[in-house]
Amino acid sequence: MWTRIATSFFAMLAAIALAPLIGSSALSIGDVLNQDPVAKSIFWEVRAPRVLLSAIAGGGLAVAGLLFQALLRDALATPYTLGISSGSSLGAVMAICFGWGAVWPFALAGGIAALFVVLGIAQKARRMSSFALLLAGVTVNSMAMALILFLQSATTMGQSLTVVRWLMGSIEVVDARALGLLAAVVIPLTVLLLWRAADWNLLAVGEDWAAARGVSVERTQLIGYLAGSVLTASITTLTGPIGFVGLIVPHALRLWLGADHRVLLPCSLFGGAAFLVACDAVARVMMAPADVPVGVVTALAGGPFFIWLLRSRQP
Amino acid sequence: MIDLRGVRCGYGAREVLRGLDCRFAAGEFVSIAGPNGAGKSTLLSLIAGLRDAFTGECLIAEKPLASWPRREFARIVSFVPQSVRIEFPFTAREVVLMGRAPHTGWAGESPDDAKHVDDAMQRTDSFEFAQRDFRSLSGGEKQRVLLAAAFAQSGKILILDEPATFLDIEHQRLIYRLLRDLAASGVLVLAATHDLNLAAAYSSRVLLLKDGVIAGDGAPSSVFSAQLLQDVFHVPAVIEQRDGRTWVRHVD
Repeated sequence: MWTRIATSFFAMLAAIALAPLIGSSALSIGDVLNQDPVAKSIFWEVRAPRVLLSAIAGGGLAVAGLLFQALLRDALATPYTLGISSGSSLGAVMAICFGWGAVWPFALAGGIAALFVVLGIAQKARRMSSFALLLAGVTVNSMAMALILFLQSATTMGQSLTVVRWLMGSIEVVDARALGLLAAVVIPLTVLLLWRAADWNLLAVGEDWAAARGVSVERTQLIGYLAGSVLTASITTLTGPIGFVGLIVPHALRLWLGADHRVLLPCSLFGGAAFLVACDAVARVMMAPADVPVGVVTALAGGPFFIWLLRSRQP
Repeated sequence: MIDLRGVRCGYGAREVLRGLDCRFAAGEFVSIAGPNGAGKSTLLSLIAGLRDAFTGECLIAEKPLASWPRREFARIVSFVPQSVRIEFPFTAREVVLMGRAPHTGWAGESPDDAKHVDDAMQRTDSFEFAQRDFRSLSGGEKQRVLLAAAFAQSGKILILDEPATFLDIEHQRLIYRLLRDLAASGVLVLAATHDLNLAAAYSSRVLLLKDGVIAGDGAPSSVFSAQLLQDVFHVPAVIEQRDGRTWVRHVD
């Protein structure tokens, strides 16, 4: 168990160490260490914060995905497919367009609202099927997108550009304070979730199964849904909606490690970080010197994967 | 151990249990029989603490069901559902280990937990597929793993919803012997079943349900009668006492 967690931890460290050297202008570690002023400035002021943001965002999204999959007992559930990302986006875009100042609380409110709408729609059919969940997710997604487009067309040119760029899901340079705040949300929440790992195992089997083994089901589910929404909304505030990280990473790790959340949770945090850092490095060189939004890379990698997953699972 | 007084329970407008009064004591092995929809599963899940909406009183070890903290309750009552559908690649051993959840602290599995798990898997003849993906097991193998999970939970009350449905006759015998031995060691065992002969051969008491009320209650030899089986199941049957056992044979 510990070797597996350590392996994924070192994979993340390697990705974080190597990624800042990759980009439209290649850097060598020697230049940075030799105090070359240009190299140093690119490394520390441009690439390092960006890599750290992708690491925290990727880790948090993978953990949120894993959590929703356990809660809904469905490998296709992620913040993105459930419409939470677009709910958060709608909240954030409203905050941007109406000039409400702080974006985060509105992103959070939007995400939680979307989650409850989706669960509400899907639960009508008594037992939630993944079919109903996905359909509800798609519906909420497109309604949120329609509202976002409406707001965007009604706003000024400058704001409209900000919104578009943000909506594509991109890792931009952020200041140390924002990074610190995000880390202060993602890391304690992951520790809280890890402390409850045995409960996620039990809930991943079934609600009655968990209740008969001492879990306070409703309270634990509420904690899980809130934690997942806070993770998603906080990350979305800084990066815009980035899809498929919460789908690919937990699923690939499950194939490798099995389903035990005591192992999967820390590995998803580290694996998600490594994955998004790598995707962002690809995004930087794909069309260099232009910057492709990282959401494009994750969607191009994740879309086919999602289809494969949908087709290969047991009926 | 269990004391039910005037228990009623239903789903929406449909009432499934319509006033049950009965007591179960430690060391009894009670088979619960009755036609489909008679209320067997509802009764068992109610005693297992999985139904919130019921009226009447249900005392477990002298305490009302609702006043039990979940985790403490799970240390004395274990419940084996008829089947479990798992979406994720848990191994059989991991499923059994989940039975230890109410005993395990945050630090995870202790050597004592591991011992309980291995022991339960050996007793239910499921140790050989401990490392296999639960989803890849046959119906009977799954059922033995679920039983092992309940044994590992090591409670004072064991509740099983049709534990023998998917088992071949060798493993039916194995499981029912285990349940009988468990009852002999002081555990209260409640098992729903459709197999009246299995019930008659192994259990100390049979509770017959019909339309949510008790139609018969007592030792198998006293409960099973041609008249009662005709009333409850609408099947003509012959009851024979042979080799010190009660046999139910339905006739055409």
